[in-house]
Amino acid sequence: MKRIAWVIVVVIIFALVLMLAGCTVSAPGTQATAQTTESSQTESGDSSATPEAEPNIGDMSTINTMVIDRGITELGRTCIDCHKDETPGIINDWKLSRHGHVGVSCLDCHETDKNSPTATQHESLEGTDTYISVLVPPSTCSRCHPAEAEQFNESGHFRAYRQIIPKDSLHALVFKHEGQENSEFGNATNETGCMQCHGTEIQLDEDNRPTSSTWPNSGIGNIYPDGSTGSCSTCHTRHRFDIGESRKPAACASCHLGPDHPDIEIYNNSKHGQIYNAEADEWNWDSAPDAWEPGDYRAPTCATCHMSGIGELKTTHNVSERLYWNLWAKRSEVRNSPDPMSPLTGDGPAGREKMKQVCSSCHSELHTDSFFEQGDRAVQLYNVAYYDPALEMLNDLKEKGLLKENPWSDEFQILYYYLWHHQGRRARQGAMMGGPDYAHWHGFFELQQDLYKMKDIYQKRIETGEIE
Amino acid sequence: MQIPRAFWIILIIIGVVVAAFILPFASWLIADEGMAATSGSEFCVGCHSMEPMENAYLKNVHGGAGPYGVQAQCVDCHLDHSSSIAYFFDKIRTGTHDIWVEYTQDTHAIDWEAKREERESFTYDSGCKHCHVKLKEATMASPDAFIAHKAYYLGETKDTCVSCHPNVGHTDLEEELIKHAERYQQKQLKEQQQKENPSSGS
Repeated sequence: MKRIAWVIVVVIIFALVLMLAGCTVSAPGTQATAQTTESSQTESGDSSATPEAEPNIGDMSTINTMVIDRGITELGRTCIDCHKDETPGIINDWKLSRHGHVGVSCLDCHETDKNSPTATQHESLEGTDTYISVLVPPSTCSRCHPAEAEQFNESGHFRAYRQIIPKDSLHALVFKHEGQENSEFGNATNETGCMQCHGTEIQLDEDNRPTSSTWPNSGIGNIYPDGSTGSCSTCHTRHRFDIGESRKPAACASCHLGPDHPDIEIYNNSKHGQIYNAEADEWNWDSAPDAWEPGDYRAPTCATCHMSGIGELKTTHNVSERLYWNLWAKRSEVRNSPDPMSPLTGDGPAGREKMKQVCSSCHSELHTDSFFEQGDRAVQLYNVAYYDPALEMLNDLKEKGLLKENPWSDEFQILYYYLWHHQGRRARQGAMMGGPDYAHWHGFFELQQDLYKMKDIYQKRIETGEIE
Repeated sequence: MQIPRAFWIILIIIGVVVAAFILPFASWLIADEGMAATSGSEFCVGCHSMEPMENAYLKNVHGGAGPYGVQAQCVDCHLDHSSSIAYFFDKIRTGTHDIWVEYTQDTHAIDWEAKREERESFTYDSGCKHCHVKLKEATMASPDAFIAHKAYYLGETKDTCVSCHPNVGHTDLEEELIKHAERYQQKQLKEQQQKENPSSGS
């Protein structure tokens, strides 16, 4: 009896092992592929698999069965029904978004009052009382996110476009020089360049739709037809509006780059950037607002220092709030104005304290204080050793009539521009954000070269009394 | 002849009763009737310049155009409801101001559309919340009410009700304002023509 029992046990174990082995060999993926190939062969009668049979991740146009019947009005459902075929990318973004989760649907943002300047109706809405707008101004976002909009309205980002309006020299650079005063295409450089980051005043055609000379653009300082300013989707791109995306340096980098403010390059040059680039894919990006803390990440991103709630510090959409200097200006001064239109918007000393609070999550007081002492010395060196003498020479030449009328064909004025707008910013921003290559080689090294060249030209013009 | 003492006593009792109960009751009745009579849209639209506002209001849910026929009155939104005293003085202030303007100024010269931009100054959250008493307790059964009003009740925003609901209470107000202005212009034109050529009018 005992022996028979043992034989049965061994047979059962053997059978189980066989079953397990069988499962591993015919894994679900392999089975599916085999079936797909089979069915496509039988249907098309062709030996090669048709392209439709391949998996199509994210393409909603192949899905005909997605019906959302939860927390959305009948009309809201019709938007999704058509647009999942017409613009599957948009619907796919939305269904993965937090808006999708809580039932904020197309019409919650795109429906507009009949009398709104942007009110339109496409065919399926004609005859109804529903009007929609392609444009979604920040005033719409602020209906649910009012604090964020109010903070933005007090920040330097608010004047991204507004500050350009009165600047004749900048309009001349873009239209007269870059656009070569071409009546037909002269605005192209603004449309494809300036406007895409700074924004513009969006104009409408006779059908209430935005004109191609003002839209599409992702400019953060857009003035919308309803008068509201900003563009939330600059950092929280459509239609996912992902908090994690905006916390990554990439959100800022699409504008804060290049020779005149290489902020992403400086970040990559910094130790913070080193850690981010080495291991960011392992970090937590979607903690709740104000709850994203060290531990979720091992090094700060742009957002961490300039915006995020960290420790006792509150989250802010006022990017000027934690700043001391204005590092972009011709000469850096301490911020001291509550007016977002002022180049010195912010409260420098209070901003510095807040920024130090950010640092204190990971650094000692000595480390933090000494870092800012280093940076402050670099900014002041630029002010007194480079900008002040450069300006003095410029004013002297202007007074003596020794400047060309066209600043962009005058070697002295071009050097002056590079000195503050390119190398000068690189030196200052590199120093204050821990980017040594930008503080030094792209910064102060180039600055001394500019200054010596300017001095030579200045001497020559003063001695000869004429422009070379 | 001497008046009996009892007469005086009865008179005093009657006096006390009148003073203590009937007089306050009567004055309350008069005040209440007075307030009610001057709080409906019929009273407000007695001023000609309020015509487009009323037309737009009657088209709106708040004007009774909803499925249940509930109607808010002008004063429910346009008077301060933070206390009875505030309400009373606001009523006197706005009432006298409006009557003064209506009879001393050309109300057609007023840019009413521009005035709508100042809506926060003449529409009161305390009024909205006088009826929408349970909005603060909204749940995810109504995500719109729940999510959108969080920042408001937490005091994180300076926005008022009408900052986010700019057209609440009046449907197509801009259209109605334009129509009203056009009607007035036509009327003026007609009057002018009649003045220039009195025979053609009759």
